[in-house]
Amino acid sequence: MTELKSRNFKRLYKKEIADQKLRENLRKATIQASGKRNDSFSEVDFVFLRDEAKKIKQESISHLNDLLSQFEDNAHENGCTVFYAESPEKANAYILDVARKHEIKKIVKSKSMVTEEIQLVPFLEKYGIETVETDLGEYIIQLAGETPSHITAPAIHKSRTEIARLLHEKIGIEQNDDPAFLTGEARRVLREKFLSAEMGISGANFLIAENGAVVVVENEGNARLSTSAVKVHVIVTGIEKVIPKFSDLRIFMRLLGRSATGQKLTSYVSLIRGPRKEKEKDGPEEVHIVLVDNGRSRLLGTDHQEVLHCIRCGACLNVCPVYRSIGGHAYGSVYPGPIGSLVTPLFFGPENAPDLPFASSLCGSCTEVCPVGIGIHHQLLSMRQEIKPGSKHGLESFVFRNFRKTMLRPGRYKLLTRLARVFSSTSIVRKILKGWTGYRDLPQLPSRSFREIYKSEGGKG
Amino acid sequence: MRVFLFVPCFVDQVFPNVAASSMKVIQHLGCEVVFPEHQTCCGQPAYNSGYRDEARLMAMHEVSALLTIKPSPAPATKYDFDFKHDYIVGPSGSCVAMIRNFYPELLADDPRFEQVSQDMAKRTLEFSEFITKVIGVDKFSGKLDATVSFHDSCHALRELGVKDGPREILKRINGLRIIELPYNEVCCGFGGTFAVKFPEISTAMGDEKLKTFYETGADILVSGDSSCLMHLEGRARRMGSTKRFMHIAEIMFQSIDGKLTE
Amino acid sequence: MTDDREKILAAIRRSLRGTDKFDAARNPASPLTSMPQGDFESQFGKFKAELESLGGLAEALNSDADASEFIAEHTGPASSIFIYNEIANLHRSLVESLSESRHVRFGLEFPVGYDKRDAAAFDAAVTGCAACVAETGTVVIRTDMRLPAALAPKLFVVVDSGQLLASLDEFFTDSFGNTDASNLFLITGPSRTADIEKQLVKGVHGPKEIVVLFINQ
Repeated sequence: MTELKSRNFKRLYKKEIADQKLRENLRKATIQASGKRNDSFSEVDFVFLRDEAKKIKQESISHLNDLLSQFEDNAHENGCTVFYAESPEKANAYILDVARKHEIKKIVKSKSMVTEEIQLVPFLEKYGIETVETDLGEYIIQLAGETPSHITAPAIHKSRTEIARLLHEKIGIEQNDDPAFLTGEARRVLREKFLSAEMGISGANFLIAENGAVVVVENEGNARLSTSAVKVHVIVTGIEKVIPKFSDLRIFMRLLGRSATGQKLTSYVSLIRGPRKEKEKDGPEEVHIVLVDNGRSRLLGTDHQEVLHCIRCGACLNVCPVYRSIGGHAYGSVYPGPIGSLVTPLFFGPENAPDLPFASSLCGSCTEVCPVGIGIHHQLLSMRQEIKPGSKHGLESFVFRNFRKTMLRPGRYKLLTRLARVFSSTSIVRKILKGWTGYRDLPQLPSRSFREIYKSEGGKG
Repeated sequence: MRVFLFVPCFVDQVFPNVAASSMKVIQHLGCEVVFPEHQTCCGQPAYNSGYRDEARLMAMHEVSALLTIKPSPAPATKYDFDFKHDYIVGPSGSCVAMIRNFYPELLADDPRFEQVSQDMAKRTLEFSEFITKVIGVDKFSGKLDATVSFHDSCHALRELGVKDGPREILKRINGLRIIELPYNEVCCGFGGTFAVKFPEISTAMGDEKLKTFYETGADILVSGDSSCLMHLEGRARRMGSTKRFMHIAEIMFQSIDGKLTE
Repeated sequence: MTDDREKILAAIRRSLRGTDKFDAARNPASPLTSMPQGDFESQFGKFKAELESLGGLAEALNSDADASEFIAEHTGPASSIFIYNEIANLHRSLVESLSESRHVRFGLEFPVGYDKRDAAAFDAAVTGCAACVAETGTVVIRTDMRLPAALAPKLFVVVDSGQLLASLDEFFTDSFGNTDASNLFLITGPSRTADIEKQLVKGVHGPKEIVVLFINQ
């Protein structure tokens, strides 16, 4: 986990795209994932679910204040401690504080995008607290000292051979690239971590206002252990995750697993209501819920509010042809892909990710699969209008100003286009068009435009 | 009923044969076609690049220009276009989507254009849509010996919902063999200025598309958008391929004109 | 440490001031396009098909004795099996006959705050459930001990046929939302991952095998 590198998008993607093997692996994996997603919606009405989910998210965000208060009251009633953190620093400091109070030396952690966002793990490790990622993909990434390249499949960029070599070097297992073998060995090592750790950290997929429950969704069983086999459980999530009702889960649970991995329901859904009750013999004694803002409240009331509806399923990454070509690391952010190209500039400032909203062909596949109806590609388009590339004095701005001037005067348009045809083969024009001509041939220009043909043939074309 | 032919700027300049074929096919099917000569560009390149103000001015110009046969300064006080009977038809899903989906939003805060942009959106159709939805695909038939695949442009597919129409049209051509492209809903990588801003990504996507096209064994890749074809053909030529790329209007015209011109 | 509660809530209020409040009228219809309704047989058929498509196992049995026999068949003779209290209470004859052939230990033997390593020592766990959902092949468990069922490689869930719900619509209702327990786990098939080249591997941190036994009483 490192700092935001999205500013270097152009450099990063060129490096990633040159890796043929990576592109092939990614393409295979994402096409498979998208296919499974599509198949899994055969038994339910996707449009019905999406429209309901969108409505519920709109309601949740428009009542965010009340719902957070309601959630907080109920969470307190359930015995949890709720902590609001405006910034990553504040959230990290609080979690360190909790760990120190309990003299924690080892933490088991399950997947959480917000903890990546606030860079919690390197922070805790800096203070000497061993913090182990227990999701298999995250564990691999942590051992490799890398960042996840996908929201739900963090190690999607790694081949089994690379993983086998990595686990051999780092945890000393036999070098064998069978996924079942590798998974078994990781299970063995991590099982010992679960049995010796005193604190667990998880994210949350949903917070239920009406009963204070925290919903954690996963497939491996590591989140279930990170939240159960510990004395202290810390939940770290964004303030936008709260929804009004328990019954709303009938919509979201059917969408999330299908959109993420093509499962009708993920293997585990943990509904956590707080620390162990009097009659319960295990489970955490303390549950802390850390609600992180970090730029989210700023989006409320803006045209980009709907970006807060995202449930982090990763479907838009799998279907995106740009993501398939360059992979997650190129985006330089913990949030890659189409949704990342929105979230990154919105959370961390457009000046830190100026290219991302432009890194899309606007094909709209992302919008088509989004389970909560975010108009992702239209959002990208409106972001472009807010953060026009370059300054008013830049070359592109100059080009579009003159382009407009020409298009407003048909006479000038006719003259200039005729000139352009004459000079099209000159080297200066080719140089201007190098983004095109460096990669593709230019079409052979006809001797006459349509309007000239039309005119010369007396309006008969 | 008249058809006001909307000819996007790059079609006018680079693919005049696409515009001419569109015109002749529509005429062949019994409609009067006029070409409003004042039209230039719909403004999409500027709009998609973030230059909203420039795009707005171009949109204002284009609204007036497209609705007026004889040149007149914008905004026109009276339009030649009959909103009850006439249609605006363009051989580009992408540029039609600009007028139909984005003009009403772009011009919403200008009282001179608010209503007319909405009215115009309702009467603007992509070329194949006009054939299937207004004229009726049964009215068309042609004959051509060739094997083709059809490429869906993203804007036609997702912004306009054009999917089956072009295929129904191609089936009306005797002798034409149609092989579906695998992954036909995946973008070819053109994306307007995206193609020159991120050329490596754009061509990587193009290469994937071309690979699936080559795998079909078809001779010609047909599409409703010349922009996708320009990108794919340019890349195919650069990589040494001699496959052919044609707009659906061109292939329709060939099929009634009798010969497949080079 | 004081938190940023007031600051954040004030920022939200400020940002949302003047925007429309949106209240969603929920559409109560089910999004399912096909669902076996009515009798137990068809719902159990759906449950079994779903669970087995994921690599689990579901059987409808006639008695505790059958269940005991089934569990014995699916565990090695040297197996050590953890029995949850509710099973010990409600299915006494199952437990009695199982303990004749297998080494069993009971939840009752564990004190509050027991050493978690003791819960990791079992080859299998037998638990009851709060509900089952046919739509997805899901079992919902709510126990006084979270770990044995989470750590054992094999999990047997004993269900009364009346606990089978047709769909998630019936589960996500107030009667389950207002549970007293600190936890409610929905388990759908074996623990799994596809983190290595998208290849599915069953049995990661949770049970590799899940067997659901319906007992008709």
